[in-house]
Amino acid sequence: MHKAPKLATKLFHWASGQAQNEDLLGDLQELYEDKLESKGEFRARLFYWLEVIKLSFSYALRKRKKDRSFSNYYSGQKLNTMILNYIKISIRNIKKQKLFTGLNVFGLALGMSVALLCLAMVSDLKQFDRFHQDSEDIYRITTKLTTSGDRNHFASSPPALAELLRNSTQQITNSAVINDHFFPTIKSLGEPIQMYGYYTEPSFLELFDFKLQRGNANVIDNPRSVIITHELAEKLFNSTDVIGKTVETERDGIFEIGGVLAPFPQRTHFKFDLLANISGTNRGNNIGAAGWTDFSGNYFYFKSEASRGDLETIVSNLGQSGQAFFDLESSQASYHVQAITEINPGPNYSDRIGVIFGYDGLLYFIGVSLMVLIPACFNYINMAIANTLNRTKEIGIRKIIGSPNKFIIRQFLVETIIVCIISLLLSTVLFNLVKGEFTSMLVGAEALTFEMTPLVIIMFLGFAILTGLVTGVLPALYLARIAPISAINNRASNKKVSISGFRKGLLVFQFILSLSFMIGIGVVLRQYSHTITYDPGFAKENRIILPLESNNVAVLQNELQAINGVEDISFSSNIPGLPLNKTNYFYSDDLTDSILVREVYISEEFIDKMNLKMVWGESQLSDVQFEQVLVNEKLLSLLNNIENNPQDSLIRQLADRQVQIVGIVADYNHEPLNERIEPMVMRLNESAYNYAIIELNGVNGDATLANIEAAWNKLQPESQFQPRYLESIVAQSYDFMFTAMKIFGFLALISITISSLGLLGMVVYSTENRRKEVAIRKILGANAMTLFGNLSGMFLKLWLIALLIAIPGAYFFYDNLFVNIYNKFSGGVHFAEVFVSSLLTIIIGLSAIFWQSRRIIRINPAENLRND
Amino acid sequence: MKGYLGEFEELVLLTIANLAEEAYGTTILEMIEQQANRKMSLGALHSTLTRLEEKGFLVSYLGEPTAKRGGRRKRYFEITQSAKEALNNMKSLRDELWQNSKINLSVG
Repeated sequence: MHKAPKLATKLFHWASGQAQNEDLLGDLQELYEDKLESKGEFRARLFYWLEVIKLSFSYALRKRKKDRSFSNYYSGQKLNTMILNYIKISIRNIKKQKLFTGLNVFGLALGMSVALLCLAMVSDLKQFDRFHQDSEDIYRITTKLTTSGDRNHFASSPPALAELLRNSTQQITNSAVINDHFFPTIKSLGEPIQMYGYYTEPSFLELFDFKLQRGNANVIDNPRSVIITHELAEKLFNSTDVIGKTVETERDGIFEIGGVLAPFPQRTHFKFDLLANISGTNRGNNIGAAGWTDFSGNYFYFKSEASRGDLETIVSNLGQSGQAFFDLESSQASYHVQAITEINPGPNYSDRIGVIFGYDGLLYFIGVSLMVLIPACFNYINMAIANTLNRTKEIGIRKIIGSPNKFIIRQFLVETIIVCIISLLLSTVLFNLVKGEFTSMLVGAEALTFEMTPLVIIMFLGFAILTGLVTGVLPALYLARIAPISAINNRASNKKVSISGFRKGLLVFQFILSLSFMIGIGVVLRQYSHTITYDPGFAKENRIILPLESNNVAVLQNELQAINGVEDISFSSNIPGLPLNKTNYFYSDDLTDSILVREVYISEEFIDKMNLKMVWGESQLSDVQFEQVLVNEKLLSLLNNIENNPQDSLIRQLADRQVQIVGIVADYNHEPLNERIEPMVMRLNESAYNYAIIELNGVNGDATLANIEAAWNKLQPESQFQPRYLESIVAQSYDFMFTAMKIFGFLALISITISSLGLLGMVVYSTENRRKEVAIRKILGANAMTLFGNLSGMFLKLWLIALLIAIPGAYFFYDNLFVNIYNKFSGGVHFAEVFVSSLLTIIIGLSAIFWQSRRIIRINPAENLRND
Repeated sequence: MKGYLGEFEELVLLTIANLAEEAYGTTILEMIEQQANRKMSLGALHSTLTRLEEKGFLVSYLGEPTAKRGGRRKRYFEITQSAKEALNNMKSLRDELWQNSKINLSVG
C-alpha cells in the first residue's frame, strides 16, 4: 500500500464532517494505487487531489452529511421532537413525585402572586393617558427650582411662561392651562361631599380625549358654569340629564351645570369631578412677579409635533425672561418638558396633579415582590438538588446512551418551566383573589383596572418562563455535572452530609421574614383591640347620629325631645371619632404667628351631652360682644401667657374676627386615634350643623328608633332617615387596620409557607444523604431519636440565630417606625406575639424534621446497604 | 420523477448487474471506463449511486476491509427488484422500437 497525499485526505475528512466517508476513501485509495502503477507518482497525486475536490462537492457527500444530522442521537434540526420528548419525560417525573411537585408548585405560586400584582400594575401604568389622540405629542412643562442649594422639581410651571409660549411659539398646536386648587364641597343629603375640580379652559376638552355627553365645551367660558363628570351627575342627581341644574358649594358659591362628560377610561393621571373656568378666578394669574414665582398648582399642557429637544430649547429660552423675579427670591428656575405618557410611572415631582405612581414606590413594591419570590425560587433549587438522589439513575442512563450535558440541562429547564407554568395557574387564582384588596388599600388605585388583556396574559406567561429559566439553571447545571458512572452506581458526586453555609443563611433569612410578619399581625391585632376599647374622651354608647338636611334644628330638637326614650339631643358639624376637615387660623397675641387649628361647630349642649371634661371656664357658648369659643388644652399650650392677663388675652383673633375664649376643654380624641390631638377650636353656629347626636336611654332602642323615624318623616318627608350608632361609626373608621392585618396576614402566610417548604427541602436533603449512616446505626442498635436529635440540633441553632435577629429587629421596627405612624396606639411588640410566632415556627420546623426522620428510619436497613 | 431511468443510470445499473458480487465504487468506475470508454470522476459516480439508492433501485452494504484500501471497508451495491423491472421496461421499449423501425437500422 502506498501513502496517498496526506493533506488531501485530511481536507476530505474535514469536508466530510460527521458524514461517513470510509468507503469513499477506500475507493480513492484503490484508484490511486492503479494510477500510481500506470501513470507515475506525480500524475497519480494530481489525480487524487482532483478527485478529492470533486468528491467534496459531490451530491453523494452532501447527502451523507445531511443524513448524518438526522441521526437518532443528534437532535440538531429536530428540536421540536426533542422538546416534546422533554415535556413528556417532565410530566412523567412530575406525576411520579407528587409531593415534591405539590410543595414546589404551592411555594412558587405564593411567591409569584405578589410579583404578578406588580407586573399587572406596571403594565396598567404603561397604558396611562395613552387613550388621548396623539398622546405621544402631548407634553407638560415642569419646573426645577434651586434655592440656596436646595433643589426641587415641580410638576407645575409659571402661568406667565405658559402665556409666553402660547403667544410666541407656532409649534404648539393646542394647549390648556390647569389649576387644581379647586376643592368645592357640595352639601347633599346632610353629608358634605368633597370634590376635586380643575380650573381650566375649553381647550382642555380638545387637547385630551374626554368626550362630552351633553352640553359643549364652551360653556366653561362662563365663570359660573361647570362641566361635571358622568359619575358625579349620577351621584348627585341619579341622572345625566342635568344641564341647567345648579350645585351649591360651601365656599365657592352656586354653579350652573353646563355639560356632562361621557364616562372615560380610568387610566389617566387626571382625577377630577368637575371643570370650571380659570379666567373668572384669581387662579392662573400670569402677570408680573406673581405670574412667575407664584406657580403652585398651575400646570401647562400642550400638543406639539416638534422634537423634544427643540421644545426644551424653546422653553428654556422663554423661561429666561422670568429669571429676574426668581432672583429676588434668590432662586434659580429651569424648565423641562415631560411627555404625558411618561407621567405614570414617573419621577416623583413636588406639587403634582392627579394620580402619580412614582418610581420609588414602584421600586419598593418590586422589592417586596422579589423578597417573596426569591426565597420561593431558592426553595425550588434546594429541593431539586435534594431530590438528586431520585434522579441520578435516570441521568446516568441518559449519559451512557450518549446524551450530552446540554440535553440534561434542557430536560431540567423544561421541567422547571412546566412547574412554573402550573404555579402560574394557581398564582393567577390568588392574584384575582387579592387584587381587590390591593386596590382598596392603595391611594389612587381605583385608576388601576388589572384587566386580563391578552398582553397581560402573555406577560404572565413570559414571567413564568423566565422564573423557570432562572430557577432551573442551577439545579440543571448541578445535575448535568454528575459523572455517569457514579450516577449509575447511585453515588451522587456531592455526597456531603453537611449543608452549606449559604443555604443555612437562606433558611435563617426566611425564618426572620416569617417571624417578623407574624409579629406584625400580633402588633396590628393588639393595636386594633386597643383602639376599639380605648376611651377617646367622649361618650359613644347609646348615641345615634342623624345626618341633617334642613337647618331648622330647633323644631327638630323639640319634636325629638318629646319622644319617649330620647335622653338628649345635641348638634355638631362633625361626627366625633372621624377626621376633621375644616381648618382655620388662630393668631398669637402679637398677631405675628398663626396657628393652624381644626374647627368644629357645636351646639350649646354638646360638651355636656358628650361627657367632655372641662379644664376651666364655661361650657355654654353665647354670642354677646365677641363670638365665644372653646379651645382644647393643646391649643392653649400653644397660646402664650393666658394667666398673666386673663381679661385681654382671652380675646383672640380667629381668622378675620375677634373671639373670646370662654372655656378650655380637656384634650380628647375627636379624630381617629391614628391622628395626633391637634389644636382645636369649637364654635357655635346653628347653620353649620350637619349632624344631630341623639342620646337614647338604652331601653328598647328599636321602638325609640321607630318613634324617631315617625317624627322625622313628619318633619321632613322628602329626605331619607339614615340613623347610625356612633359606636359602629367609630369602629368602622378603623377598618383600614383590617386591611393592614390582611396584608401582614397574607405576607406572613406566604413567607411561613415558603420557609417551611425550604426547611422541608433541607431536611429531605440531609436525611437522604444519611441513609447509610442511619442504616448502620440501626443495625448497631440505635433508635430513631439519634437522627432526630442530630437534625433538630442543627435546626434549633439556625432558629435561635433567626430569633436573635428577628426579635430586636421587630422591636425596633414596630415600636419606633410603625407606632410612630399610628401615633397614640399603645406600645408595639409584646411577649405574646413573640412567643406565639416563635412557637409556631419551631413546631413547623420540628414536625418537618420528625416526619422525614421517621420516613428514613422506617426503611429496612438492608435496603440501604445491600449495594455496598 | 420517480422510476425514470436516465441513460447513465441505466448504464450504471447494468454494470452493477455485470459485476454481481464485486460491485463497489472502484470496480464500477473501472468497468464503465473500459467498456463504455467514458471518463468520469468518482464524485460523479457516487452521486449517481446515491440518487439510485434514493430512488430505490439500489441497496448498499459495507463489506470487509482490505489492505489495498488502507484498511478501509468497501461499500457493495446490489440492484433491487424495482431496478430489474425498470431495466426490463426500458429493454422492451427499445426492442419494440427496433422492431417497428421503418428504416433499416442495420449497419455494414
